[in-house]
Amino acid sequence: MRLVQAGDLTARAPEDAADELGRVGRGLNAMVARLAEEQRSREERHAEEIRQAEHVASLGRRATVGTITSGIAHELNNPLNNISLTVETLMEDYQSLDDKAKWQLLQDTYFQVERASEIVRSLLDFTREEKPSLEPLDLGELVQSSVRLVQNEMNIHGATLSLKLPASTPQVQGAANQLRQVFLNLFLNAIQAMPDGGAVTVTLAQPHPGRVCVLVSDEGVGIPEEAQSHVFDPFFTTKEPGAGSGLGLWVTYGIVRKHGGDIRVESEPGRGTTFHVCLPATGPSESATDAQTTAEER
Amino acid sequence: MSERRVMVLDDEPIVGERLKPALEKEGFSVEVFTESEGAVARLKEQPFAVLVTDMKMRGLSGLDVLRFIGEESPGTRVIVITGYATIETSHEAQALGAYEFVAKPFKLKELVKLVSRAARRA
Repeated sequence: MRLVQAGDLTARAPEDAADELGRVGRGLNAMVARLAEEQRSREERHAEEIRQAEHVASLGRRATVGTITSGIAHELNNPLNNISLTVETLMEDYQSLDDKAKWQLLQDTYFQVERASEIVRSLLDFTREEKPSLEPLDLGELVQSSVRLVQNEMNIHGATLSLKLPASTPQVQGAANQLRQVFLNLFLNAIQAMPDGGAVTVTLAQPHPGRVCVLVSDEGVGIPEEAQSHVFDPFFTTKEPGAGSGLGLWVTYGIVRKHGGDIRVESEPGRGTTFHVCLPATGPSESATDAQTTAEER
Repeated sequence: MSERRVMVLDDEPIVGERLKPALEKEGFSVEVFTESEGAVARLKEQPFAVLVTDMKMRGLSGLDVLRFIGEESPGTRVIVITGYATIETSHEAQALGAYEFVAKPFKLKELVKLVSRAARRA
């Protein structure tokens, strides 16, 4: 009995006695055998679930590798083609072209090389395996320093940004540069989603003590419903050709996941979009509704 | 006269900018489009001997344009240029009557030669 209580379902009670004790022993053994059988089938089901989950994950990885390979081919072959055609024109017509035309061709080449390099850089950012060196960071400060980086871009596009931070902001474990890139990408997307200007609202909220979320909302064009499930896919873009590589949100997703967090999108076409970035909180904090500081910046 | 008319359709503006003068030097009259709806509207107005078209574009894809040509302008030879082709899309393009399938990056001279050959057969 003690063995069974301790979890050993192979133990059996003596059941050879012809009296009451023997009947109890046989009944007990039958019960233990049933328990052992149930435990075995539970373990088998669990193992099967794990196998299926791994299979699905590997299918997902393979599909991603396929998407990435065709994406890389397409995205790199376009700038390469532009460079090839432009340099060939320059070589072919070198004598007859005036200085201005030559300059234009050189400039085109330069920007297409930049475009191709940017794609390779983003891919490396995503696939770099090493763990970022994590340090305790004040998430509020980090968001504010990211806002400063887009100030100029906001002025150009006539966008305003309001920042809603609690009086004391939670800490997270993270790599400052990488997390700044996350917010920078989201701010730039928000600004670009509003070609006629508008307001970007950045809110820091804490749904529960172990978690902190940054919400980046815009009043822009929104994302069509059928596109919303693809915004984090590599090489997916709704921007004009050449305006976006389709890697920004993919890289953003990769960084957030590496920090143990998650990111999701809510969007209403014509009304605007909100990205939610949630990270594990490690330090002291106060509720986001307390003592909000709002900074209106132009 | 119409066998000298060529349309270039690619959402990468540089492709049209480089192909136009190179083809004009060979005596072709060239119109460049960077979005497929405008190109199809123009094809409805005017027959072209040769269409050079990209495959992956916003809106109507190269295959959609090929389908339109097959139905509305079967005399036009279509050269498909693409940054990445799956076996399926290249088969589909061929089935839809594409004259030639060219992978990016390509050489300007080779494409001009190909257009000249397609125009003679148009």
